[in-house]
Amino acid sequence: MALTVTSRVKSTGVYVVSPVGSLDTNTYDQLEKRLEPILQESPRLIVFDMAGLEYISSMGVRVFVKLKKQLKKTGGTVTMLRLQPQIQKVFEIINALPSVTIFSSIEEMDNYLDLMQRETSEKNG
Amino acid sequence: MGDFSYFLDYYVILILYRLFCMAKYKAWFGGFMQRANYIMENQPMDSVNDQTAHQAGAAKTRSCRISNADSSGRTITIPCRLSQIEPVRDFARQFGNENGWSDSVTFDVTLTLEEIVSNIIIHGGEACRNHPIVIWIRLIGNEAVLVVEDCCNPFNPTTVPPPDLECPLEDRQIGGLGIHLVRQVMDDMEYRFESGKNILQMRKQVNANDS
Repeated sequence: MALTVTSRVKSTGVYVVSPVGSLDTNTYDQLEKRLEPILQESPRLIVFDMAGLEYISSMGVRVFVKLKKQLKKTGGTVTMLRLQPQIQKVFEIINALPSVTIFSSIEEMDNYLDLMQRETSEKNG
Repeated sequence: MGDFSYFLDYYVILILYRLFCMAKYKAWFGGFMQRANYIMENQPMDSVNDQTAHQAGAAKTRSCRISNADSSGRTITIPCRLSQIEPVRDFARQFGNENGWSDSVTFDVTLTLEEIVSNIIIHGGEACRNHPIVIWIRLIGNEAVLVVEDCCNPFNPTTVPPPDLECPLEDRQIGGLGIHLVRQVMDDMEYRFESGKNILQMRKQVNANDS
Protein backbone atom coordinates (compact mmCIF):
# COMPACT_ATOMS: atom_id res chain seq x y z
CA MET A 1 0.00 0.00 0.00
CA ALA A 2 1.40 3.36 -0.95
CA LEU A 3 1.06 6.72 0.77
CA THR A 4 -0.29 9.91 -0.73
CA VAL A 5 -0.36 13.14 1.22
CA THR A 6 -2.39 16.23 0.41
CA SER A 7 -2.35 19.44 2.36
CA ARG A 8 -4.14 22.76 2.32
CA VAL A 9 -4.20 25.98 4.26
CA LYS A 10 -7.36 26.18 6.32
CA SER A 11 -6.77 29.66 7.66
CA THR A 12 -3.80 31.76 8.72
CA GLY A 13 -1.29 29.45 10.37
CA VAL A 14 -3.65 26.47 10.23
CA TYR A 15 -2.97 23.58 7.88
CA VAL A 16 -4.95 20.45 7.17
CA VAL A 17 -2.84 17.47 6.11
CA SER A 18 -4.45 14.27 4.82
CA PRO A 19 -2.28 11.15 4.65
CA VAL A 20 -3.98 8.41 2.64
CA GLY A 21 -2.98 4.75 2.52
CA SER A 22 -0.15 3.30 4.58
CA LEU A 23 2.27 5.16 6.87
CA ASP A 24 4.97 2.57 7.44
CA THR A 25 8.71 1.91 7.45
CA ASN A 26 8.86 2.50 3.70
CA THR A 27 6.57 5.53 3.37
CA TYR A 28 7.02 7.59 6.56
CA ASP A 29 9.68 9.80 4.97
CA GLN A 30 7.20 10.96 2.36
CA LEU A 31 5.05 12.48 5.09
CA GLU A 32 8.10 14.06 6.71
CA LYS A 33 9.11 15.67 3.41
CA ARG A 34 5.57 16.95 2.93
CA LEU A 35 5.63 18.57 6.35
CA GLU A 36 8.96 20.37 5.85
CA PRO A 37 7.66 23.38 3.91
CA ILE A 38 4.72 23.67 6.31
CA LEU A 39 7.06 23.71 9.32
CA GLN A 40 9.06 26.49 7.74
CA GLU A 41 5.94 28.66 8.04
CA SER A 42 5.88 28.11 11.84
CA PRO A 43 2.24 26.99 11.82
CA ARG A 44 0.01 27.48 14.84
CA LEU A 45 -1.87 24.29 14.15
CA ILE A 46 -1.56 21.27 11.90
CA VAL A 47 -4.72 19.18 11.69
CA PHE A 48 -4.29 15.66 10.38
CA ASP A 49 -7.39 14.34 8.66
CA MET A 50 -6.80 10.61 9.11
CA ALA A 51 -9.95 9.39 7.37
CA GLY A 52 -7.95 7.78 4.56
CA LEU A 53 -5.15 6.28 6.65
CA GLU A 54 -5.53 2.49 6.72
CA TYR A 55 -2.28 1.39 8.33
CA ILE A 56 0.38 2.83 10.60
CA SER A 57 3.54 1.35 12.10
CA SER A 58 5.87 2.72 14.77
CA MET A 59 7.90 4.57 12.13
CA GLY A 60 4.71 6.39 11.17
CA VAL A 61 3.91 7.26 14.79
CA ARG A 62 7.43 8.64 15.16
CA VAL A 63 6.70 11.23 12.50
CA PHE A 64 3.95 12.64 14.73
CA VAL A 65 6.13 12.47 17.82
CA LYS A 66 8.92 14.36 16.05
CA LEU A 67 6.48 16.84 14.64
CA LYS A 68 4.96 17.62 18.01
CA LYS A 69 8.46 18.21 19.44
CA GLN A 70 9.36 20.54 16.57
CA LEU A 71 6.09 22.48 16.79
CA LYS A 72 6.42 22.91 20.53
CA LYS A 73 9.55 25.02 19.93
CA THR A 74 7.55 27.53 17.90
CA GLY A 75 4.37 27.35 19.97
CA GLY A 76 2.44 25.27 17.48
CA THR A 77 0.44 22.12 18.01
CA VAL A 78 -1.06 19.07 16.31
CA THR A 79 -4.59 17.72 16.30
CA MET A 80 -6.18 14.78 14.54
CA LEU A 81 -9.46 14.07 12.92
CA ARG A 82 -11.42 10.94 11.95
CA LEU A 83 -9.00 8.17 12.97
CA GLN A 84 -9.94 4.70 11.80
CA PRO A 85 -10.30 2.29 14.76
CA GLN A 86 -7.10 0.34 14.09
CA ILE A 87 -5.12 3.59 13.84
CA GLN A 88 -6.71 4.93 17.01
CA LYS A 89 -5.73 1.69 18.74
CA VAL A 90 -2.06 2.15 17.81
CA PHE A 91 -2.03 5.70 19.18
CA GLU A 92 -3.76 4.50 22.35
CA ILE A 93 -1.21 1.74 22.89
CA ILE A 94 1.57 4.29 22.58
CA ASN A 95 -0.44 6.66 24.76
CA ALA A 96 -0.10 9.44 22.26
CA LEU A 97 -3.67 10.64 22.65
CA PRO A 98 -3.67 12.60 25.94
CA SER A 99 -1.42 15.27 24.46
CA VAL A 100 -3.11 15.38 21.08
CA THR A 101 -6.65 16.65 20.59
CA ILE A 102 -8.77 14.32 18.50
CA PHE A 103 -11.81 15.63 16.72
CA SER A 104 -14.50 13.20 15.71
CA SER A 105 -15.84 15.30 12.88
CA ILE A 106 -15.02 18.22 10.64
CA GLU A 107 -17.79 20.23 12.30
CA GLU A 108 -16.20 19.78 15.69
CA MET A 109 -12.87 20.92 14.29
CA ASP A 110 -14.44 23.94 12.61
CA ASN A 111 -16.15 24.95 15.85
CA TYR A 112 -12.83 24.66 17.68
CA LEU A 113 -11.06 26.71 15.03
CA ASP A 114 -13.76 29.39 15.11
CA LEU A 115 -13.36 29.57 18.86
CA MET A 116 -9.57 29.87 18.53
CA GLN A 117 -10.03 32.59 15.94
CA ARG A 118 -12.43 34.56 18.20
CA GLU A 119 -10.02 34.27 21.13
CA THR A 120 -7.16 35.52 18.99
CA SER A 121 -9.24 38.48 17.74
CA GLU A 122 -10.30 39.37 21.29
CA LYS A 123 -6.68 39.30 22.42
CA ASN A 124 -5.58 41.50 19.54
CA GLY A 125 -8.70 43.71 19.47
CA MET B 1 44.56 -9.48 25.16
CA GLY B 2 42.33 -11.89 23.25
CA ASP B 3 40.28 -8.95 21.99
CA PHE B 4 43.43 -7.12 20.91
CA SER B 5 44.59 -10.05 18.80
CA TYR B 6 41.19 -10.04 17.06
CA PHE B 7 41.65 -6.35 16.24
CA LEU B 8 45.17 -6.98 15.00
CA ASP B 9 44.07 -9.88 12.79
CA TYR B 10 41.20 -7.81 11.45
CA TYR B 11 43.34 -4.84 10.49
CA VAL B 12 46.14 -6.95 9.03
CA ILE B 13 43.57 -8.74 6.90
CA LEU B 14 41.92 -5.42 5.97
CA ILE B 15 45.23 -3.93 4.81
CA LEU B 16 46.12 -7.06 2.83
CA TYR B 17 42.64 -7.07 1.30
CA ARG B 18 42.93 -3.49 0.18
CA LEU B 19 46.46 -4.00 -1.22
CA PHE B 20 45.40 -7.01 -3.25
CA CYS B 21 41.90 -5.95 -4.16
CA MET B 22 41.71 -7.43 -7.62
CA ALA B 23 38.83 -9.52 -8.90
CA LYS B 24 40.68 -12.81 -8.86
CA TYR B 25 41.61 -12.41 -5.20
CA LYS B 26 38.22 -11.22 -4.02
CA ALA B 27 36.72 -14.65 -3.40
CA TRP B 28 39.65 -15.77 -1.28
CA PHE B 29 39.99 -12.55 0.72
CA GLY B 30 36.23 -12.19 0.84
CA GLY B 31 36.17 -15.37 2.90
CA PHE B 32 38.67 -13.89 5.36
CA MET B 33 36.71 -10.65 5.51
CA GLN B 34 33.47 -12.53 6.17
CA ARG B 35 35.06 -14.42 9.07
CA ALA B 36 36.81 -11.32 10.38
CA ASN B 37 33.54 -9.38 10.29
CA TYR B 38 31.77 -12.23 12.06
CA ILE B 39 34.41 -12.24 14.80
CA MET B 40 34.26 -8.44 15.13
CA GLU B 41 30.51 -8.33 15.24
CA ASN B 42 30.05 -11.01 17.81
CA GLN B 43 31.47 -8.59 20.29
CA PRO B 44 28.73 -6.70 22.20
CA MET B 45 26.42 -5.24 19.57
CA ASP B 46 27.29 -1.74 18.44
CA SER B 47 24.85 0.64 16.85
CA VAL B 48 24.55 0.23 13.12
CA ASN B 49 24.48 3.25 10.87
CA ASP B 50 25.91 1.48 7.85
CA GLN B 51 23.20 0.86 5.32
CA THR B 52 25.48 -0.39 2.53
CA ALA B 53 25.42 -4.01 1.46
CA HIS B 54 28.37 -6.15 2.45
CA GLN B 55 30.88 -6.30 -0.41
CA ALA B 56 32.27 -9.74 0.33
CA GLY B 57 32.28 -10.81 -3.28
CA ALA B 58 31.97 -14.53 -3.57
CA ALA B 59 31.93 -15.24 0.19
CA LYS B 60 29.73 -18.18 1.05
CA THR B 61 26.66 -17.27 3.06
CA ARG B 62 25.47 -19.43 5.93
CA SER B 63 22.16 -21.01 5.12
CA CYS B 64 19.37 -19.89 7.40
CA ARG B 65 16.57 -22.38 7.44
CA ILE B 66 13.65 -22.89 9.73
CA SER B 67 14.27 -25.94 11.85
CA ASN B 68 10.74 -27.10 12.47
CA ALA B 69 8.81 -25.91 9.43
CA ASP B 70 6.21 -28.37 8.35
CA SER B 71 3.57 -28.25 5.68
CA SER B 72 1.08 -26.39 7.88
CA GLY B 73 0.96 -22.65 7.38
CA ARG B 74 3.05 -20.57 5.05
CA THR B 75 6.58 -19.26 4.98
CA ILE B 76 8.17 -16.32 3.25
CA THR B 77 11.90 -15.78 2.92
CA ILE B 78 13.15 -12.27 2.26
CA PRO B 79 16.55 -10.66 1.78
CA CYS B 80 17.64 -8.36 4.58
CA ARG B 81 16.46 -5.17 2.87
CA LEU B 82 13.91 -2.52 3.87
CA SER B 83 12.26 -2.79 0.46
CA GLN B 84 11.28 -6.36 1.41
CA ILE B 85 8.96 -5.35 4.23
CA GLU B 86 6.17 -4.70 1.71
CA PRO B 87 6.04 -8.38 0.62
CA VAL B 88 5.87 -9.37 4.28
CA ARG B 89 2.85 -7.11 4.83
CA ASP B 90 1.20 -8.61 1.74
CA PHE B 91 2.02 -12.11 2.97
CA ALA B 92 0.39 -11.49 6.34
CA ARG B 93 -2.72 -9.89 4.83
CA GLN B 94 -3.12 -12.72 2.36
CA PHE B 95 -2.85 -15.32 5.12
CA GLY B 96 -5.40 -13.42 7.19
CA ASN B 97 -7.85 -13.13 4.32
CA GLU B 98 -7.51 -16.81 3.43
CA ASN B 99 -8.22 -17.82 7.02
CA GLY B 100 -11.15 -15.48 7.63
CA TRP B 101 -9.44 -13.31 10.21
CA SER B 102 -11.08 -10.05 11.20
CA ASP B 103 -9.50 -6.85 9.87
CA SER B 104 -8.32 -6.10 13.39
CA VAL B 105 -6.46 -9.39 13.78
CA THR B 106 -4.95 -9.15 10.31
CA PHE B 107 -3.79 -5.64 11.15
CA ASP B 108 -2.21 -6.82 14.42
CA VAL B 109 -0.31 -9.65 12.74
CA THR B 110 0.80 -7.46 9.84
CA LEU B 111 2.00 -4.75 12.20
CA THR B 112 3.82 -7.29 14.39
CA LEU B 113 5.74 -8.75 11.47
CA GLU B 114 6.60 -5.29 10.15
CA GLU B 115 7.95 -4.16 13.52
CA ILE B 116 10.03 -7.29 14.12
CA VAL B 117 11.38 -7.52 10.59
CA SER B 118 12.22 -3.82 10.29
CA ASN B 119 14.11 -3.99 13.60
CA ILE B 120 16.16 -6.89 12.25
CA ILE B 121 16.97 -5.09 9.02
CA ILE B 122 17.77 -1.73 10.62
CA HIS B 123 19.66 -2.99 13.70
CA GLY B 124 20.82 -6.46 12.71
CA GLY B 125 24.36 -5.46 11.83
CA GLU B 126 26.65 -5.96 8.88
CA ALA B 127 27.02 -9.70 9.52
CA CYS B 128 23.49 -10.50 8.43
CA ARG B 129 23.11 -8.28 5.36
CA ASN B 130 23.65 -11.25 3.08
CA HIS B 131 21.47 -13.64 5.03
CA PRO B 132 17.74 -14.04 4.54
CA ILE B 133 15.01 -13.53 7.10
CA VAL B 134 12.45 -16.29 7.30
CA ILE B 135 8.88 -15.76 8.48
CA TRP B 136 6.51 -18.62 9.17
CA ILE B 137 2.84 -18.32 10.07
CA ARG B 138 0.74 -21.31 11.00
CA LEU B 139 -2.50 -21.95 12.81
CA ILE B 140 -2.79 -24.30 15.75
CA GLY B 141 -6.49 -24.47 16.49
CA ASN B 142 -7.56 -20.90 17.16
CA GLU B 143 -4.06 -19.65 17.68
CA ALA B 144 -1.84 -18.03 15.08
CA VAL B 145 1.83 -18.85 15.66
CA LEU B 146 4.36 -16.53 14.05
CA VAL B 147 8.04 -17.42 13.86
CA VAL B 148 10.73 -15.05 12.63
CA GLU B 149 14.28 -16.34 12.14
CA ASP B 150 17.35 -14.34 11.24
CA CYS B 151 21.12 -14.82 11.20
CA CYS B 152 22.00 -11.46 12.73
CA ASN B 153 23.84 -10.71 15.94
CA PRO B 154 22.16 -12.30 18.95
CA PHE B 155 19.37 -9.96 20.00
CA ASN B 156 16.51 -10.70 22.36
CA PRO B 157 13.60 -8.31 21.78
CA THR B 158 11.80 -9.55 24.89
CA THR B 159 14.42 -7.77 27.00
CA VAL B 160 13.85 -4.35 25.40
CA PRO B 161 12.49 -2.08 28.14
CA PRO B 162 9.10 -0.49 27.51
CA PRO B 163 9.10 3.16 26.51
CA ASP B 164 8.08 5.69 29.14
CA LEU B 165 4.45 6.16 28.25
CA GLU B 166 3.70 8.58 31.05
CA CYS B 167 5.86 11.28 29.49
CA PRO B 168 3.92 13.57 27.16
CA LEU B 169 4.41 12.59 23.55
CA GLU B 170 6.58 15.56 22.73
CA ASP B 171 9.00 14.97 25.60
CA ARG B 172 9.42 11.29 25.04
CA GLN B 173 12.43 9.54 23.64
CA ILE B 174 11.69 8.04 20.26
CA GLY B 175 12.56 4.38 20.74
CA GLY B 176 11.23 1.01 21.79
CA LEU B 177 7.82 1.75 20.31
CA GLY B 178 7.84 -1.14 17.86
CA ILE B 179 8.49 -3.88 20.42
CA HIS B 180 5.97 -2.26 22.76
CA LEU B 181 3.30 -2.46 20.06
CA VAL B 182 4.11 -6.12 19.43
CA ARG B 183 3.85 -6.92 23.16
CA GLN B 184 0.42 -5.32 23.29
CA VAL B 185 -1.12 -6.94 20.22
CA MET B 186 0.40 -10.41 20.59
CA ASP B 187 -0.57 -12.75 23.44
CA ASP B 188 2.88 -14.21 23.87
CA MET B 189 6.48 -13.62 22.74
CA GLU B 190 9.34 -16.09 23.19
CA TYR B 191 12.93 -15.83 22.10
CA ARG B 192 15.78 -18.23 21.76
CA PHE B 193 19.16 -18.21 20.06
CA GLU B 194 19.91 -21.56 18.46
CA SER B 195 22.34 -22.79 15.81
CA GLY B 196 23.51 -19.26 15.16
CA LYS B 197 19.98 -17.94 14.58
CA ASN B 198 17.70 -15.56 16.44
CA ILE B 199 14.34 -17.31 16.67
CA LEU B 200 11.36 -15.27 17.82
CA GLN B 201 7.98 -16.91 18.26
CA MET B 202 4.77 -14.99 18.89
CA ARG B 203 1.27 -16.27 19.41
CA LYS B 204 -2.18 -14.73 19.16
CA GLN B 205 -5.67 -16.06 19.60
CA VAL B 206 -7.54 -15.62 16.37
CA ASN B 207 -11.14 -16.58 15.85
CA ALA B 208 -12.78 -16.43 12.47
CA ASN B 209 -15.28 -13.98 13.87
CA ASP B 210 -12.90 -12.19 16.23
CA SER B 211 -13.52 -8.47 16.47
